[in-house]
Amino acid sequence: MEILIKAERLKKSYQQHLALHDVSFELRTGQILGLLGHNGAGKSTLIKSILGAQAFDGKLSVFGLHPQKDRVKVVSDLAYISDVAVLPEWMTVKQIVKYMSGVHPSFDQSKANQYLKETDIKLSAKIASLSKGMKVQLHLAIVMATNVRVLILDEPTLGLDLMYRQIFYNSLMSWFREGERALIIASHEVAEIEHLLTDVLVLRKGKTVLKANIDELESRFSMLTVSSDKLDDALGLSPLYHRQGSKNHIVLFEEVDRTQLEPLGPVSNASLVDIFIAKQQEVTL
Amino acid sequence: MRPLIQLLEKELIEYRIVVKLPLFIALFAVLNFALVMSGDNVSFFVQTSGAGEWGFNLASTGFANYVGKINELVAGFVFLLLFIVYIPKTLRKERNEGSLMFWRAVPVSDYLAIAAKLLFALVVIPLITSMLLLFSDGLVWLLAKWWMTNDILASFSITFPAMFWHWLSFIGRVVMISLSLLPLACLLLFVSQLINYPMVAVVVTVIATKVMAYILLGSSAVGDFMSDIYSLPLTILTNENPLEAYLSLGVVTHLVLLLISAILFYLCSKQRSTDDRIFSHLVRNLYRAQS
Repeated sequence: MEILIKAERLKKSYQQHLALHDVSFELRTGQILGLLGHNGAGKSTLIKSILGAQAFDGKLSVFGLHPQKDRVKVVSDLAYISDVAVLPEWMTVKQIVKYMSGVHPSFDQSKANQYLKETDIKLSAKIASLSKGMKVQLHLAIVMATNVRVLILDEPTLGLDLMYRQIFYNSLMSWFREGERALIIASHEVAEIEHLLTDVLVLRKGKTVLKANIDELESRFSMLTVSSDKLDDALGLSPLYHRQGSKNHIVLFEEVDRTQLEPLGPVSNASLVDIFIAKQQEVTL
Repeated sequence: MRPLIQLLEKELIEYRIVVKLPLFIALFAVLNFALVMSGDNVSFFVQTSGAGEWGFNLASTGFANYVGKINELVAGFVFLLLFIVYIPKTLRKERNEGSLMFWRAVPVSDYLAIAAKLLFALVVIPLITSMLLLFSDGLVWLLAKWWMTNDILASFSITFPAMFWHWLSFIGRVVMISLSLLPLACLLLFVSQLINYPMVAVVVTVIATKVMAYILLGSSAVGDFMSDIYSLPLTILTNENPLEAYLSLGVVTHLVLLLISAILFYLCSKQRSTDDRIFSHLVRNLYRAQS
């Protein structure tokens, strides 16, 4: 699989604040990378670096190009959708579609109109008059019509109701399956995107706290449900995270053999949400 | 070429005032004509005191004499007004409203984006205002044809060839004005990306520089020179010979101003491409190149 994005020891600081510290990852064709982290974790900083919107230290290549120096070439094959309103509100839908067909060499106007026909968005409508869900749909229609290879989504469904979220992800996945593409989805709503992901990169205060393939997580993390009388034994095995359930305790382990855990209680696969929470918290045990 | 046309069309959609204001003024042209033609031959002179002196004489011999000159001045002032409205706002607005991330995500280089904005301010706007002139002159011709005898029409040069020549000479005049506005346009485009009120910042800086130069050197020569530069567009608009007015600053000064414009254009494009401050960005690149 072709490497589309490669970051090596990426760093970014704003005056005294270190926003990214030694972040390394690769994105290949067919991958859907979940870029997870709480607010201030460094997700948006990483995305801005990939988009060439800011300088950085370390190495970062997108399609083998430098994102800042070769921005025009990079964005011909890479698109970005964010939660904040980036579409020009003073344009109509028809005007923005025409604009894209004029400036983007691979934009297919008929495809965009086709995608828009499947929505309630009218071509004559001003973008400012659209609901947030419609704006996201419009942005997605524009991106899907450009036939890019990498799409970066920064909290794309924030503030959308469940119906729009469902429509959004259905459209996104059918577009993704059409070609040799890759996605980066930045979100802190882990449960919502968990089932879509092939890989995860979890950031905390600018540092990588987890980088793994989703299939790896199953063998790497185990969840033990343990009663109070066996809790001390479980804590003795250096768990990653522990929380009190209604009757029992839930204890999360990383790289611990399941045969060691099974005598203490039922062992199950850890969900990405549990792993995410564990990785976002300081180990206090 | 297609992206450039699309970029210019986008500016036209965003800044409707560029079309609306000349249209609004055009409606007044009818009233203006009726008022002026009802009076005698009018000639007046306006002059400011101190440095940056400029004036205009309406005793013209071109199309429709002084009425034609008024049309020309109105079209010229509309151009300058729209320039002042558009240039300090255009880059600031895309940062403030958040659409900059969208424009950056399309394959249009920052050089092309800035060049399109300059073309819009210095070519499209004057072309639109020249249409205003053509419309006003057309109205004058139409109404004169209705009210006046052929002898009077000839004595006031109200003919089609004179009208066309009037329009062409206005185009020549606005070319000179646009050239003289280029350094200011580049400066305002650059400053507008750094601060919210670029016009205020530039005006305050100019005044402060003039005062400081006077205090330090005991002479107003520096201040006068600055006044000559910023009042040049107005001087060209009101002078009988626009080329002569343009060249009054000297060829060397214009070459230096063009060089400054090129540097500011580069800085402006670099600033648009990044969320970092351009100077820290440049220092960083310089440091990297040395190490």
